[in-house]
Amino acid sequence: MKAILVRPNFDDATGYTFAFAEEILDWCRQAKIDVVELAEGEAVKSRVEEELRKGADLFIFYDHGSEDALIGQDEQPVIDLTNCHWLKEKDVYTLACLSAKELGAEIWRQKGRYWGYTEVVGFTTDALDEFKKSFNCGFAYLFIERVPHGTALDKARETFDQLATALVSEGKIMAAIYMRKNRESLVDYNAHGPEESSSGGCLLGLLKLPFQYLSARIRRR
Amino acid sequence: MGDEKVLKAAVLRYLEAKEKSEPGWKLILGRESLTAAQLRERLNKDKKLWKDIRQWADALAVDMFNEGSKKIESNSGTP
Repeated sequence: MKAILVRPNFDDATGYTFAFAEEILDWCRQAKIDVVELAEGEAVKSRVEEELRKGADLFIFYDHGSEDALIGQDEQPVIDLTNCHWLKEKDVYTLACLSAKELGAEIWRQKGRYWGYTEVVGFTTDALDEFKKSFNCGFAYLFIERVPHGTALDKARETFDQLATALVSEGKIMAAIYMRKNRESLVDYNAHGPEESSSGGCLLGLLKLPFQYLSARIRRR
Repeated sequence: MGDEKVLKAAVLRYLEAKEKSEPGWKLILGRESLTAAQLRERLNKDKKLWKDIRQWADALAVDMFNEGSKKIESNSGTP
């Protein structure tokens, strides 16, 4: 398996998530996953596309995102709706805020698999080990233990729950609140489709789908 | 609502204690980085942020009761 790990580092948040991604890098090396790291100055669109052109099975991205993009070191998208065809039929693992909403859904429509978050991700500095564990556990379930997607998502949500309970007992209440919130916005678009996850069965969500699809198609042109 | 005021006062009190015990404490929220003092200030102005924290505090409380129920049920079969 070949992986590309992209990790910018340009502000407070990416300073922490850059460090969280170190564990993913170690696991890749231990599991003999052939990993190309694009860190800091290399975490930009041109380098990402260059590496994707060479081929990869798995794309890992830590950290900032928006609903339709993953943001690189230059604060510009490295992947958005205009170039996400590079991730067609690939596995994507990210903790980027919001990106599962549109970008993840579009990659899933292109037969990719997307592990990410539909809302803004939060964490506190009194529980960095616990948050690292929560953000990284899905990777271990999917690519080290090789459990199926649905099982990996269930196990990850259970991990978030256990961590939240432990944080409450340690008096780290704000950390527990954001652990709980992150758990709720975690999605795995292969275990479930985005329609099931984001609309929650709501008719309004289903009605929005053709428009989301059309707008994505128009933006790609 | 009375209950909400009580919860908000508890959250603000918690953040005040956090500020004193861990001056370096921060909440990283997407691209934002807030100290305990900054978060307290924001919670007094930002209704959306408060609504968010309240929602997930409620969810956490429900989880804790559900967990408690499970423990009671799993122990009820033993003499």
